[in-house]
Amino acid sequence: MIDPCPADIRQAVLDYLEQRFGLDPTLLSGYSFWLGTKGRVIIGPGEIPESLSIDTAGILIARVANNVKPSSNLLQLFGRRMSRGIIQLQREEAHRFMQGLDFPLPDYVDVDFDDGYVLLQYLQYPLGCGLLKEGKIKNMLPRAKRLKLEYF
Amino acid sequence: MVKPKVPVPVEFRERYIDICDDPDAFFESLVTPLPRTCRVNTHKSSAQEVCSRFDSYGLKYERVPWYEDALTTGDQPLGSTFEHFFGSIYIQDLASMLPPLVLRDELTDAELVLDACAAPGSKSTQLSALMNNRGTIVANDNDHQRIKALKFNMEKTGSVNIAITNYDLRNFPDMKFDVILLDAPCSSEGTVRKVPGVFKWWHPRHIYSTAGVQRQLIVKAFDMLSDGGVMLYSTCTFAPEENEAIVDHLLRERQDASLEPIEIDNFRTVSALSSYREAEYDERVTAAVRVFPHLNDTGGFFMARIRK
Repeated sequence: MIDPCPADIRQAVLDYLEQRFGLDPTLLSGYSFWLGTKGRVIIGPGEIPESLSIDTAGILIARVANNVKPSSNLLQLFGRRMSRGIIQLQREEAHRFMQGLDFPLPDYVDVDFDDGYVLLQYLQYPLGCGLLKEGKIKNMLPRAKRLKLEYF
Repeated sequence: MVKPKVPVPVEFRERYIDICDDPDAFFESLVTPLPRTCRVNTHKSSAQEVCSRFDSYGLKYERVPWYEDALTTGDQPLGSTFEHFFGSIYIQDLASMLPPLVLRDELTDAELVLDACAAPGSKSTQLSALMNNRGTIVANDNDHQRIKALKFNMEKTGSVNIAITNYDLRNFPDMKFDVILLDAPCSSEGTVRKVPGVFKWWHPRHIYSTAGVQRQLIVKAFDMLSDGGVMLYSTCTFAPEENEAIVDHLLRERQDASLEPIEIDNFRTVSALSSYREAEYDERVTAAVRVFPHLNDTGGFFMARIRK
């Protein structure tokens, strides 16, 4: 079950996504915000009839605890509208990421932002979330999404 | 390895030998595996983008002539493609893509849509794509275990405009929807090409046990439809007791229900039956359609488009 998301948490998520990834908050303004267990922030349809008991809705966009951790599903869906916090991978590292592996920040990448969560991208495709820390990329892809690919 | 064929049960043949023009082709198709197929998830990619990627690594496919977002890939697996990882394709049987497609025109302006028996979410996520993530889809299922798959697919496809509920439809709160999809639980005969085991446990008693529930569901769902709204009743079975008889029941129970014709360009359907064995149906029922596997190389399906 989920509850309506408090306004301050909603604002904190929108501010973070704008500052870190350059995501225009108005892109999410038509959706409802919900709070699940363990600080899970969810966006769902703009209008949900009040008489309904909702199990869940839409997609998880972030977990909020001491900081905001964006979800890979959010980054995949809105990544093409993001302008910052992006690491463009080449084929080998992209495949490592999709299999769920960690890897060092590749030499071919120039980073002009601080350590923190990043959008990992291959060609024009936003693949998901990694954590950039001290020259390494920690894989944040949920286990259920990890895949060894034959056609890639 | 090719799985051994499970033969068509004798009693099944006897039940259905008279319901189509070419029973030999019909029965033969039932023991022929389905081609692998997928739907492009337009929340993530366009069909053109997916096709161009498939071309780039030599994965053979064909466009489906009646749905611009559907592809067949013969016997080549899709589960290890980048497109599957990224969620730009959704592995789905062709026949199960039909109900949202038949509602397509109404979805353009619909604000509130109900997918009454939604898990695992193939059709809900397709409805979401056809609505371009606007409006609200209430995806309901009474089976809490199956809702897990629905949640996963909703997340993976980026279907933000879906809210999931876990009601027995018969106890669903009173409210009105612009569009309702009632893809009813059924004896699933039409899925035998995907699940050959269907013929191992097939028995007419499954038909009779589900038909009672379907009669309740169709009336309840219709009562939740707004005036002027449209509902699609569908099943993946051939049994007239679960198809024509259920629509006939609705027409008897609700005077304000009417049927509308269903036409899908480049796709062959057959009019629903006006009678079966001793049963005679309201002649309006024949506006509903049957989807036979041998006519379009799909699973089996039944659809009735109902207006209030």
